[in-house]
Amino acid sequence: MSSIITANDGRDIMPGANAPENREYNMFIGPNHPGIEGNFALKLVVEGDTIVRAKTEAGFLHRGFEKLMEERLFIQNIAIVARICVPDPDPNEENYARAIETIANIEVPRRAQFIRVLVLELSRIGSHLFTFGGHAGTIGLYTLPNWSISDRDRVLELFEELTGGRVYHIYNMPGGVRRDLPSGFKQRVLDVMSYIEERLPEYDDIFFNNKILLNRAQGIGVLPKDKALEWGATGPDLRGAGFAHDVRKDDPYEVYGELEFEVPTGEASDAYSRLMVRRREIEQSISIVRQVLDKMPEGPVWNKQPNPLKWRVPAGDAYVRTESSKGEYAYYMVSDGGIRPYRVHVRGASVTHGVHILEHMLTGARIEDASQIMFSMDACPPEVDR
Amino acid sequence: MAIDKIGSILRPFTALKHIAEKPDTIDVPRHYRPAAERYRGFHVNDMEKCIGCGTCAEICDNDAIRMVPVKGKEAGVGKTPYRPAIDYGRCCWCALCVDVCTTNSLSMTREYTHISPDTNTFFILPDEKGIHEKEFPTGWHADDTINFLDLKRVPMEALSAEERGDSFIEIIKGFSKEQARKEASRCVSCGLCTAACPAHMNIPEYIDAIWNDDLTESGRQMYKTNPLPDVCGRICTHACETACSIGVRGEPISIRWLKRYAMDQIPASQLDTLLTQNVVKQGSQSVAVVGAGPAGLAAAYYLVLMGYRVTVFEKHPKAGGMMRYGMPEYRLPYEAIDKDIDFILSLGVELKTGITVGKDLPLDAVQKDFDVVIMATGFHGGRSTRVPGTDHTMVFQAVDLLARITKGDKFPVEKEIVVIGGGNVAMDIARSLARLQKKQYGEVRLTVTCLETRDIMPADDEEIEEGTEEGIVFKPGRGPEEIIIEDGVITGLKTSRCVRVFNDQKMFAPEFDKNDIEVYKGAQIIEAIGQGPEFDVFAPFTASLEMAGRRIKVDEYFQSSQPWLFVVGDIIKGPNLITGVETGHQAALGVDYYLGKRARDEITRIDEMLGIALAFQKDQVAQLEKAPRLPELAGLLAIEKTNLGIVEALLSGRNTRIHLRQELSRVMRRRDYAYLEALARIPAGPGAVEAVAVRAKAGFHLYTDMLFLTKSKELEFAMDTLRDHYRSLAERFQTM
Repeated sequence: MSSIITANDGRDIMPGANAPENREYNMFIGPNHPGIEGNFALKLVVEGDTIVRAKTEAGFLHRGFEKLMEERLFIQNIAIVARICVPDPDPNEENYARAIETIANIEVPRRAQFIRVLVLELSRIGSHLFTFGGHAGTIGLYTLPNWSISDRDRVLELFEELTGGRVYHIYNMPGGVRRDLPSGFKQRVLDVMSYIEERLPEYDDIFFNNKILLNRAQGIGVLPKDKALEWGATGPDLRGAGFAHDVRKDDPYEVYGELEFEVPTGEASDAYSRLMVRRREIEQSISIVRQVLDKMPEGPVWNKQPNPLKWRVPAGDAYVRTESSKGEYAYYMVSDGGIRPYRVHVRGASVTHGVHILEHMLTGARIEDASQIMFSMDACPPEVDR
Repeated sequence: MAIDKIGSILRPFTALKHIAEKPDTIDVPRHYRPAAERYRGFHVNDMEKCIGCGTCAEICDNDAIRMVPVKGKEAGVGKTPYRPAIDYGRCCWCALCVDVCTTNSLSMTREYTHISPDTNTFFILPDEKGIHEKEFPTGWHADDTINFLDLKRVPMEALSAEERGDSFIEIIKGFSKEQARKEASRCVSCGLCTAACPAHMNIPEYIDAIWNDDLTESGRQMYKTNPLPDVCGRICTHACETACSIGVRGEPISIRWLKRYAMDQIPASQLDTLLTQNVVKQGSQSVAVVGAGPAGLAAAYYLVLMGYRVTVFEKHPKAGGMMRYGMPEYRLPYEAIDKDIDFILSLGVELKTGITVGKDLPLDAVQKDFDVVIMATGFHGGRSTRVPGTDHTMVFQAVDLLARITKGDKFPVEKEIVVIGGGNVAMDIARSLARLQKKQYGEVRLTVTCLETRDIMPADDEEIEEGTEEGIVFKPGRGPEEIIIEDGVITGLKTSRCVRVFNDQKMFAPEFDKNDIEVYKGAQIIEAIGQGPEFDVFAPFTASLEMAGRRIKVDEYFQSSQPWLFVVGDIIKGPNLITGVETGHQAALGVDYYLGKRARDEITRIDEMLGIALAFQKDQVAQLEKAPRLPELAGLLAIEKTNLGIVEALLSGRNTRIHLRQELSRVMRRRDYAYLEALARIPAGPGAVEAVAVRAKAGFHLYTDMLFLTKSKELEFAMDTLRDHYRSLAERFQTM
């Protein structure tokens, strides 16, 4: 066994330092800027530069959403749910609305279903762009964050125009959406889509084909294929391992069943492969947005529900799921027939990816890759904490 | 996709081509860009449009909106002096307040930011200018296609003109359960109705109970301030619906029909078990009520609940007054009257019918037998137009005829009839006679004429519309000149055009155009131009009663200058059913003060009462902080601090609708609060537990008393909680 601390001549200058129990030390990453979109911490046990054990620490963003929802009217919760996941808030709104619609058997007008798909895909694009920026930041490539965050802003601008809010849209309502598209909006969406499409090759040049990225990300953070299934990975993290699993295809909601798109997959199941799945998903999302705008029928966008102050959802429960940019995102809602939900459980992909799988993946990795591995899983701490 | 697996170290340098491009970023604040057209910026509120209903505060997720009184804004029918103030420390910019606004007065600007080191600037009372006091373009605003509120009424089914033309069957069919619940679901519980209702009925509460399908609770809420809900559910003048906030943009809630629905579902046999838990054992003091109309019955109901012996004198063979003898059966069936009255009588009210006070029994005789007399004799004297010919035998007073129809008296109904008058009584008699005509002759030939033109006719629009459907001809804007009599038989009514009814001072001073003459054919003339009081019943006290104008002078509890005499109903305020109920209720309280020899100035308002509770709780906490840490008292301080928080929250209006609590003149007698003033200090040694027990007892009494004041369910819940706490505390130390 080689010593860690020795003099040049090989003498043991710190007796006892080389005893196995003393060679490990603790290292804390986070809770600020640990390579994840929010406050989150890692407690690493490190030997040399190698991570021996990792413990994830969540809870810094706990706001008790699930409990809060039980105390608020059904309508009031539409303002809360978006806050469960900041970079990709719309799957929350979608799930919340769809859970109520399932329990109460509410029909959503077709135009509203198209608009919801539009919003979900724009949100996915925005979220992936955000992730690229973060991922690039963790390995010291600082041009891409500037580009992708600024390009994401164009998506946010679309949201501002459509929903009245840039980040928290509060736009999906049980029964439809809150407002129809503004005039001329379709064209502006198409413009932004074309712009992002043109930008992607440039992204390739500076990032996805960058030697530095390839050297840093390939073979790093490998999620074994069998473990991916066993540990319950979903979304791009599962697809990066070669499984073409996508809720939009497997259990289509809204109008996804009528739209044509591919489910990109990777092979290596490493950080690079997951990143490339996201990169290719943006192209698919752009295609979906174009189809949606093309096929969107005229008509109402909201199926009128009773006075929100007195609105009761019939007793019942529903489990609904949505493909978010992070993975499979689900709500389990129970209504006892009252004016407030009896229970809402949020099943986010980030708990699986960011807490449990991450601990396994960090074991054996090197310190400098820890942040990158975290970002490659694309977990969202507010969603973990809820 | 141009991905090569090898990657290049040089390709990133292609980014250099952007180096000379103009950046996308904006140079703030040198350049300013307004937000998108829908942006949810800061609130603006059209202060004139806003009625202060508080629905925005109700839907707010974060308690960010508080209703605060605004100088220069007056309370009125359908509006309060309160306006929403926004706390941007709490607001989440969801704009639900904008979407739910009953008047569309709220909207948001296209401003992105507010930056200030002064935290007070984040708490604003938005007006038309918003947070930065400059006009910004409007962002998120109400959209008529997306309406949170249900602005359309559930239509009420009624008998068609053919079905009802010759019968006295009730026209309105009533709501089904589904219809009623749908209609009830429209209510936003703003409480403007309660403020507008003369009797201040707990309208949002009983509507909510209907929505929850808890009709027992609904009935209980109604009986708190109105013992005639079956009758009011049919013929009330519904000032509540005029005030309804939903009525600003849409059709107001059908409050009256909802009341009718709830009461119709509660059978008379159940009223007893639902409502009479709180009857006090009868004492020795007695009250006479003269007149079994709405006001008299309401007074009798609340007095008997308070333990007084009540005797009601009625000149007609049955109780009910104008409800029975002035209302046609098609509007108010006798079963509804009987249900309400039978319940009141079942509580122990003695009814003596067929006795006319002043004639059969002089008032001074009544005064001798009873401690207090409440006069509720109503408006039974019809006024005459006094045009030539009114002394003819075929000229009738509407009120007399309506009473005769109820009694089943025979009287002549001619083929052609003219009714003079444009109010609801004129409609009642005209439509009743039309039915009799149809029965007798198979056709309706009846003319209604009045001074007012159609737009200012005092009768309800629906009455006029339904009357027209039934075949009545309306000739509004005409003044009677004379009744044409040929050979002792009436042949018609000569009228001239009425130029205007009121003069510039809005006083009644009709002017006529004598050249514009029309004659309406008729062999029978009915005068329905109003009713008045008959003061003969007050003999021998008529001269000694102080008058205020044409009415008897009374104070706010309807006590006259003779302390033993209270005067209520139409002769004081009215004519109006629901006003009568209110006067009866208030007089009952007044009688209680008078007979209990309680001083008026002890009567306090809810907020003053909450002030007492606050002082009590604060003292309680202060005392316990100083008290020794005895094991018996462990944990008490924490509970008392929580209780203090509850009272403070109620006072600040965070959880209750402060504007309602301040607006409503719901008063109660303040009992003996000496026990609060003589509260024990908690000694630091032996006797500490005893002192705490004394305080617990005082607290129990305080909150028991305050339960009388409760308006909202939240307040009731809070008071109940506090009372239970002190009860259990006092029981623990065994002093109750």
